[in-house]
Amino acid sequence: MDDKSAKQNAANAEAPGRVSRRTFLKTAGIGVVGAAAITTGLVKLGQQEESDLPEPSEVTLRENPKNGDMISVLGFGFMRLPFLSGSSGPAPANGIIDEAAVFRMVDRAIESGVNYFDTAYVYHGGKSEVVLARALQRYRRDKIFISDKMPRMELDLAGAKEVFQTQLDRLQTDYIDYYMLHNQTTTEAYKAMYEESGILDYLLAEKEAGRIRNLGWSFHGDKECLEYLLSRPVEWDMALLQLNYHDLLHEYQAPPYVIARTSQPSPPKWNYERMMQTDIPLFVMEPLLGGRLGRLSRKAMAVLSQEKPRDSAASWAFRYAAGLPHVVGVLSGMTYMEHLDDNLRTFGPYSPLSEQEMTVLQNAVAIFVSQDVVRCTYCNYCIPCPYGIDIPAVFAHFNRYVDDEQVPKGERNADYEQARRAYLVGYDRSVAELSQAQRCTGCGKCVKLCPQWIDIPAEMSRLGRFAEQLRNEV
Amino acid sequence: MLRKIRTAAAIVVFTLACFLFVSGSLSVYFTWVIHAQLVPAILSGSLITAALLLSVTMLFGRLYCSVLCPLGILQDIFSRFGAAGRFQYSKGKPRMRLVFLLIFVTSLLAGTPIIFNLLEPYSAFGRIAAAILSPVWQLGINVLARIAEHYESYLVSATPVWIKGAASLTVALLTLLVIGWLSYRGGRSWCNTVCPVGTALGFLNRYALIHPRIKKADCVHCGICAKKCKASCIDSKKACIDASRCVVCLNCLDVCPKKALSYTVPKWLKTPGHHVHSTTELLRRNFAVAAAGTLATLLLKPASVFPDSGEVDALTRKRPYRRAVPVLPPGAHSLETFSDHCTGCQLCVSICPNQVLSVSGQLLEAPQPNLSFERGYCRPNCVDCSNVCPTGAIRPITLPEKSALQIGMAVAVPARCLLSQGEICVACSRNCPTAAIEKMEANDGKSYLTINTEHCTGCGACEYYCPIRPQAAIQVRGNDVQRLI
Repeated sequence: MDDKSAKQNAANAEAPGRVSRRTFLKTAGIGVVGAAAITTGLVKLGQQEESDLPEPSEVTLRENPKNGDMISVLGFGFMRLPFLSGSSGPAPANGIIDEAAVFRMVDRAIESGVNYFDTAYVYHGGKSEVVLARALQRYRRDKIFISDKMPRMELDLAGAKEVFQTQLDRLQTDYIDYYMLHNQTTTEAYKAMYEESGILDYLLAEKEAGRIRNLGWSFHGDKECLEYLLSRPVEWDMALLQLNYHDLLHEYQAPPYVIARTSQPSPPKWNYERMMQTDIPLFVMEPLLGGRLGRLSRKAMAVLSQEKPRDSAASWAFRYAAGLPHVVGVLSGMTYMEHLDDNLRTFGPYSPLSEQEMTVLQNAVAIFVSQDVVRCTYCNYCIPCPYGIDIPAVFAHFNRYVDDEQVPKGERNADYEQARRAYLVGYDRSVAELSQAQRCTGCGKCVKLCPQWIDIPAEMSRLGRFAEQLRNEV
Repeated sequence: MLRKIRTAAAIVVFTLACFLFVSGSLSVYFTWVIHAQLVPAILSGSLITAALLLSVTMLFGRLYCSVLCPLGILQDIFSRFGAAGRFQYSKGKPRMRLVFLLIFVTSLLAGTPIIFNLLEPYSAFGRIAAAILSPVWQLGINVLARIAEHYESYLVSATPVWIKGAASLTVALLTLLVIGWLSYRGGRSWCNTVCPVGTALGFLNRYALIHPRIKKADCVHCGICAKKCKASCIDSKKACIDASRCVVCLNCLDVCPKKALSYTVPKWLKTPGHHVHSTTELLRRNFAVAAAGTLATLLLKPASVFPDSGEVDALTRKRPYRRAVPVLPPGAHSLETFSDHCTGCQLCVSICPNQVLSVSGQLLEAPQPNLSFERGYCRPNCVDCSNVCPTGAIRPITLPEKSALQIGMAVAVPARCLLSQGEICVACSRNCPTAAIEKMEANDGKSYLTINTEHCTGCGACEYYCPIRPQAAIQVRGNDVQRLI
């Protein structure tokens, strides 16, 4: 045997390309020593980030007094989902939703205790419901509350039945926890759509059958409409209202021209006080006024930061909205993980604003509304404009410069030339040439559509003139 | 003649590829080399390039592996010092090749970057060039600079030698060790057992129009060609060539005493025999030089390798660390899309003029780069990485886009910040390119930093300039999804 193995060795040593044991051991030894040396270096490099940013715990839950549901105060709104192009904000119906990013957010939200998800038939051209269903696929249906809405379209009874069935199919579920009549504005519209057509009776029957667990409505309308809704012999289980500190802490007077062209606006403050007289559980939409209160302005933000240096502008708005009596849940249309992370810090756990903080917030609002900003929330309801003006983008550009106090002022100012250039270059970058304010014809079609009651043609003419003025100065 | 043309082309490609990695030049005269790489072309969606490469293979055989693949050429260099001229026919391992190809494709589809990153040949070369060749080159430049300085010439200026993290060095060294060893003793055995590109092209090669063939009538089974075949694919006893493994190096053509081997028209073959030296001595010398170089680097720049070298605190670089959320190069969109496309070739790391890209401390994940701000920050006037990325993992962006692209957001750490301790410091707020950082006196009497999340782009200037060590008092967290602000 020895003889044989010796021969084998000899053969190995002779054969070209074969490794002798000695060479092998040598190489292996060098490899081990090298790897060990490098690994010791690695241990040092493998340090973790050390930050004192508070890690959120579980999101606070609240009991719905009507039915005992334990609902997370933070609700995930599915109206502002991210797009693959990397664009932000509420987006065109034809954008491609970045589903992977949505799934990551939903996973983290549920992991942190968020259990309320809000969508609607019309959000993202119907894709919102589909993506929500996919995101929730891996979770137990009975641990999740889904809210959805009957769209405000011209529907007959058959059409409404079809819409409801489509919603169940899109959501891949047998029932919807909270179902709303979307966007109630006037008594006439409500009567025509829900009472005369029999759709309301149908929805009540669905509730009887258990396919709708709670029935309510979302409201954007006038005083008369709200009174009418509350006077009906229907037991409303919930209402979705636009409530935020900007609207509740200061009264806004719409310009007379706007009031003449639309129905009388009902102030959010009045709405809220009226709802307080009922025992209908409230849910909050637009707690950030379409993201506006998440940005705020530099001056107003400074006031808030002085009190709470590490808190975001958004966290103030959420804490305010969630602290209102009768409110069960606050919806947030989160587009990015960073929004979610910030909200999880706010609500995990939730603590209401103290008296001192409330005073600070009031001061900040006073400063914010005294500035020259356009009260646009970039909801995009006004577009498409028949002349192609990108109304929200024009307002967003102007507001950004007001917020940062960068609006060019006074030719004798030392920074005037620089500010002027920055404003104009920024304008061209954020609003395409053919969509700028100067091209507004003043037709006024947008005025009726604006839920913030902005006199859009007047603002367009002001901002357009301002840009032309800047351009014409040499 | 053909063999010489092939060799010359390979030398040009290899030199260009190496130069690209060590010099950081973005001239199109260099970058075409990487745009001609097969897997990156497929990943980036440039299907025309991929189709061109495949059809060239169908026509002329696996020329790609001999001429365009830098890792293949690197192996040829090793085997020249090793087994060249002493190769022998082996039976090939078709099953193993298929398994590796399957693993590669699966990992591409399943999005497990560590596997396809390690197997992809161009990127393996890139990692070696970036982690090993580049510091050696820089060292050489420094030696030249010393000499120039001595003669008061300004022709060459010194550059800091940067070893880009232990993780990338480890991966590169291991790759080099494995590839070097395999090719030293067996020529192209990596290409014909492991490499997924080799397997895929090998399959096409079997049906290629033109590839080396043996005229059986003329063959005397002397076996000279088999000894020359670095792919070990010529079975001289049966006088046949395993086309799936032939890389069309054409070394066999010249050596056949009977002129029985032909690639195109046999008449062309006139052979100047070439001299092969005994190269053990040479290798030993080269190895000694390389080892000395590495050692010298370590001794010259101890701070970059051994963080605790006892220097004055303010003059050491900050230590890389693992971020709560990694910051990706601008244009990468999100970690998910990035890691699905990046093959870890380190080209962006090599060309980044601000030295913010590296593979720091993530050996167990893929060798895919992210940002770290010990040596600089991601300046708004640069989009080089997005221009050069061959796989589309970093999508091309323009300078105006870059100025409004948020890749992360700064987060202050008051517990470490000088301001919160009542000291004066303006390092981050003064250097922020978008003026997003402000000092603010809070109602509790302390000073804090406020960061305007609408303006912060996550460039890392604040973290780079922060005086606090080993980790700065203001740190960038990557965005889950990069976005325009």
